[in-house]
Amino acid sequence: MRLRMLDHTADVGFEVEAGSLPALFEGAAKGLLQVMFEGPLEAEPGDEHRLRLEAESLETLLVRWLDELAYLVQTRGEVPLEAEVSLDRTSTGWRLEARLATAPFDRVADRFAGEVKAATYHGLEIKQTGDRYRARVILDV
Amino acid sequence: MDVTFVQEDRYTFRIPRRGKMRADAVFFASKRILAHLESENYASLVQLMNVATLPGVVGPALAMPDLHWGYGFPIGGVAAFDPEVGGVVSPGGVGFDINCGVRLLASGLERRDLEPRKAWLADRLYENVPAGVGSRRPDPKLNRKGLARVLAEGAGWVARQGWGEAGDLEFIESGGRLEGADPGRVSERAYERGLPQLGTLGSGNHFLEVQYVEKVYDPEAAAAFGLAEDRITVLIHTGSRGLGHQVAQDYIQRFLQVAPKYGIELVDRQLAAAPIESPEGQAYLAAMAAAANYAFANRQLITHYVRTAFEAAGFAPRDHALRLVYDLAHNNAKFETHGGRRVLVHRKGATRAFGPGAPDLPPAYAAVGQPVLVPGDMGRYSYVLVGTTGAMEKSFGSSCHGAGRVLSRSRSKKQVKGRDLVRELAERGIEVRAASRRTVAEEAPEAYKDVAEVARVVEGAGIGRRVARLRPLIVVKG
Repeated sequence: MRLRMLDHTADVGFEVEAGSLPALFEGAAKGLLQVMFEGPLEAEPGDEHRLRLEAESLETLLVRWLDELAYLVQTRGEVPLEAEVSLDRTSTGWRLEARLATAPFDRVADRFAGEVKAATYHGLEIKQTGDRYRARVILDV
Repeated sequence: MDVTFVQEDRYTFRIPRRGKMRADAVFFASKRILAHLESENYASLVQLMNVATLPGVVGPALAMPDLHWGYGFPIGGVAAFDPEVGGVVSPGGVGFDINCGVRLLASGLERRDLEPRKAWLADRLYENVPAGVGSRRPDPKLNRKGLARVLAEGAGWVARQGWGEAGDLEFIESGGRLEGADPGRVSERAYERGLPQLGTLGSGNHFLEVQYVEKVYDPEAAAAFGLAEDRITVLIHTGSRGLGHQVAQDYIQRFLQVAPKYGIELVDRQLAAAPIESPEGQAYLAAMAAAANYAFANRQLITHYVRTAFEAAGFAPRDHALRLVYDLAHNNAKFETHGGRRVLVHRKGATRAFGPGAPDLPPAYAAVGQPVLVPGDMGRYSYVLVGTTGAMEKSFGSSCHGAGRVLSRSRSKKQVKGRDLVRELAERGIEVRAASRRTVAEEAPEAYKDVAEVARVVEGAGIGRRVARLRPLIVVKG
C-alpha cells in the first residue's frame, strides 16, 4: 500500500494505491488518520469495533467508510488505529465489513490536528491498472 | 479543459456558454487575482463552468473575487435556479458547513477601555466559548426534544431561553430562522452529532475575534451600523457543526442515487442535484433549513457566552453594551426574487449583499443596505462592506466572504516552523488563545491572501462598498 498526502491550497486529501480493494480501503483509513492526527499514534489499541456498510458503487462506499471513521473519532471518541476490511459484491452494489482496533480519543487527543467535516466526491474515482487499485480523496476540513 | 473568457470591464470577466454549459459564467477579478487563478490552471473557473451545466440555472453562474478551488462548486460561487423550469438544488452547492457564517457585535467600549484588560478578557473568552474538539460546557442542557426546537426555531429559541437580548433577532439574516425547516428530515446521526456541539466554535478557519475599528471609509453607513473609529467589535465565525456536515453527507448520497432518475448528468459527483420541486429536493431544503437554524442558534449562544466573558472580565453589561451589527451566512440556498423571477440562490463561500431598499433588511439599515462581513486573517484585518444596487443587478445580491488561502495548510505549517507565532502576534498587540498550536500555524496570516485586495475588487466591480476596517486584538481558535 502506498499513501501520498496531497497538498492543495484550499483542501487536504491523499492518494492511495494498493494491490487489492480491501487494502485500498485500509490505506484510505490510514490517510484519514494522517489528516486528523499529527505524527504517529502510539496508543495501544484496546477495544474492537465492527462495522458494516453498503453502497451502490465503490466510490460511494469509500466516502461512507471515511465519513464513518471520522464520525467514530469525532463523535464517539474511538480512534481506529487498525482496520481489517473485507469487501463483497451484493445484488445492489457493494458491502464492506471491517474489524477495527480502536483506542479512546482522550489518549491521543494531544495529537489531534482539527476536525474533518466530510470526505468529498470531488474528482473521486477508484481506478484499476493491472492488479493495482488507486484512489484520490479530497477531504473538507 | 481550456478556459476562454472575455473582459467586460476592469473587474468583470465573462466565460461565454459552451459545451454542456446552459448559461454564461461571470467572475470578478483584478490582475493579481487573475494571475492567481492562472497559477491554478484556472481550476476554479472550470468548477464555475461545471456549475453552469446544472438544469434550470438562471445565468450567469457567478464567482466572487475571493474565488478559489473547492469541490463541486468553487468557493465564492453563486448560482440561481428557477423551480419553474426544472431548476435544481445541490447540497454540494451549499457545502458541508450549512449556513456557516459570520456575526459582528459592536460594543460601547473603545480601544483604551479594553487594552489594560486585554489578556484577562482573552482568557475569559477562551474559558467561556468552547473551541477545541470535544470541548463543551455543562450548559445548555439540551435534549433531543430541545434540539428539535432549535432546528425549527433557530436563534429565537436560544434568545427565548434568556441567552440573548431583545433586538438581537432583528439583526440576523432572515431573523435567525429559515422558513420551511423540518426537524423530521434530519437523521438521527445528525442529532447525535449536533447535541453536544451547540454553542461551540469548532476548529479550522472558525474563530472568535475581538477587534477595534481602525478605519471608516463610509461615515454614513458606519453610523447606521453603529461603528466608529476605535470602537471595540467582536466577530464570530462558525456554522452548523457536525449536524450540518451530517445533513450534507446524507443528502449528497441520496441525490447521487436519484440524479439519473431525473436525467441530471453530473460532470462532477460533488454537484449531485435534484429538481427543487421533487420530493428529494423538498426534503433536502427542509433539512437544510433545519441545519441553518442550528447555525443561527449556535452563533446566538456563542454571543451569550461572549457577553458573559466580557462581564467576567469586569465590563458591566451597560458598559460593554454588546449588540448585534449583523449575522449573515455564507453557505446556503435561499429563495429570493431577482429580475421578477423567484429563484433559489446558492451561495457557497459567498454572502448575501442586498442593497438599499431590498427586502429582509432591518429598518435601521433600509436606507444604506445590508452589512457584508468579510473576515481576513488573524494578523491583519477584516472588512465591513455594505450591499449595493449594483449587487442586486449584477450578482443576485451577492458579494465576497473572505480572503481565501494562498498557502496550503501543510505549506503554512512549514513556513512558520520554528517560529513562535503566538508570541509574534502578541508582540503586535494580538492576544491568541487556541486549543491547538497546529491550528494557529495552519491559519497563519501569511497563509491567506490580503483581504484588502478582495474588498477593493468588490468595490471596483460595484457589488459592495467598503464601510470600515477592523483590526484584531484578541483571537480565539479551536
